Amino acid sequence: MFLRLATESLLSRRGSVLMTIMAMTVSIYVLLGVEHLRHQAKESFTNTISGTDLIVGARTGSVNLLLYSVFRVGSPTNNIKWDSFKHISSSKNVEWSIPISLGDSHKGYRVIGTNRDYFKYFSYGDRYSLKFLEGRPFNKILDVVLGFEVASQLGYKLGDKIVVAHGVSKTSFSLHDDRPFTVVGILEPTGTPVDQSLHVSLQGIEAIHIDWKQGVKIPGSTLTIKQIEEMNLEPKTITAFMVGLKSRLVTFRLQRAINNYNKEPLMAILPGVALSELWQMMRILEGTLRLVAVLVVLASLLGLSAMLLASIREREREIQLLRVIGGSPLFIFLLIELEAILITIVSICLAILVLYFSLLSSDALLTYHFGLYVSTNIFSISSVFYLSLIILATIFAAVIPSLNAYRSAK
Amino acid sequence: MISFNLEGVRFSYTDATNDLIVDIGKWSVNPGEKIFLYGPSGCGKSTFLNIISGMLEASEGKVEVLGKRLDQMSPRQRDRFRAHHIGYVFQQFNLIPYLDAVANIQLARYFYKGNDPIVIRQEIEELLFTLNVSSSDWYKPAQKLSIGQQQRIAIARAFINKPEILIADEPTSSLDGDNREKFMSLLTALVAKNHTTLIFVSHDKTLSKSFDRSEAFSEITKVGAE
Repeated sequence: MFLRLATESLLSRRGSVLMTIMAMTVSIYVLLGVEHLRHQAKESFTNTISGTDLIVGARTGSVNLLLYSVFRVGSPTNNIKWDSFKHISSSKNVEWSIPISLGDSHKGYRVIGTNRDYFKYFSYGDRYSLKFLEGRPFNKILDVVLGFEVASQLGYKLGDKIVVAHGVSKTSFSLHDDRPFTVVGILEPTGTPVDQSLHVSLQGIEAIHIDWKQGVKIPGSTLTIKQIEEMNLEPKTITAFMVGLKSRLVTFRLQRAINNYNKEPLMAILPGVALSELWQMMRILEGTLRLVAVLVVLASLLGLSAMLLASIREREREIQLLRVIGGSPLFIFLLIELEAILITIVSICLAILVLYFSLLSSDALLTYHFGLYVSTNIFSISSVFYLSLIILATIFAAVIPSLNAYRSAK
Repeated sequence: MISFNLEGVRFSYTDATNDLIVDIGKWSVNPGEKIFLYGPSGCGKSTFLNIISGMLEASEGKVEVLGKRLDQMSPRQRDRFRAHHIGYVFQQFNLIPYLDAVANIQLARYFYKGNDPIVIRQEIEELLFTLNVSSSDWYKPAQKLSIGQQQRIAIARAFINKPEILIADEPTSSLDGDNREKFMSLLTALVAKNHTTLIFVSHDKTLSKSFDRSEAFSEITKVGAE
């Protein structure tokens, strides 16, 4: 009966109640949406790399090394010698190591020179290793394996020829057009920068640069593929390499050893630590977004309170009547509170529904523009926490109109 | 058991004695008695009714209803007492406008003991039938009904808990002649059937003939006499 009274009372004031529900829905939608995206961004961010114990590169900031080696953002400060890679990789504690050579691109997507260990050892997320959607790892010098997004966005399929551009700009004019690569494999989507990369062998990178000096092509090259294949294409330098250790216990010891490597200035970072350092930098942005969302919810709660307060004035006789037939002032107080809570619960349900469907429909868009794979599961501990907080805040916001009703009932 | 027994009851909103709204030396009503009260508006009528129904607490004095001391009860106890023993009919606005007739009556029952509404639905429908409320109006929101209908439903609402006392505060003032007749005959029939003590307030003295006793407010409260 109590619930029915509250519902029918709300239904009898459809107009203002509906507007309030809409305002609340929008605000809760914003809060949940921001929370969810923040969560997903963080997750997809920290899932970019796993299983790698150390990343080694030229001396620079740890965030910078992480950015260019893993996220393919920015550019390396310097290269490191192939000999250093070979030396460190042969250490008895190292289980595997993956060399990375950056510097070329294809239509804005970065080209990575590496070896076949990349497909064997590199892992992301919850220790998922890379899987082939089609084809196989590169075999020949001019083979290329595409990340999922590269293949899907540019419409490449196995057997297509790709020309790589020198440098990382999207509109590079210096093309390695004399030596096109052949697509031999396409990777499954990972939700990491791997999707936006083209993978070639280190020898491939060397091969396309054979007759280049200082970043400019020397005209009149006549070397054929056959001649190139016969040459020694061992690289002299690489950009960075990832290391997997036999035992995690030696991580810090090896890191120190690499940092003190005396043949060349090197730096080793722990990906997890660098990732959290990088995420720390996003904290302010994160906090601001959350603050704005919370303020929006607060504003709509005040609107709810104002709506109820205005309704009390028109309902004075109704309250009087409830008193006469035996309702206590506390009953009146709780009735107004229940009305507020009902409005909030309906708004929460609507917001969740709208958010769910907007995530469903914007899924492809987010993936396309931000490489963000967003799950449609909105329920996390933090969102449940926020929702209970909103209900609690509703109870508080409704105290003013409820108290008002309580007083007029006295 | 005597229905009302008031002694030395005073009420004022402030502590000042010259601000008295109600000042009653002694007033009592026997069970089953039908009292007609009249007086001009603004003479403290509603304050008086609020005190004897336990809505307001008297500033001083003894308020005994059905042998229970209202002045010694907590507000919560008075609310429960009212729900159990006193029915109330106003001049207008007797019903929650957005609830239908049946739900309005169920609500009174709910405050009585939080009964399961389904069980008493039949009881309510029978009562509405006796009161000449056509069944097509039972499940319409009260605000869609005519005043005459609303007042009859108000009687049903007042009687659903079989109260010993019925207070009717100008219940016929917003009704036209024909409806007033019908209303009065329904009310007196139900009161007689249930042996209810009736306190009927009106400024229309022509209605007073069917009552046991007729009193002017000015006779009851000294304030009104001055």
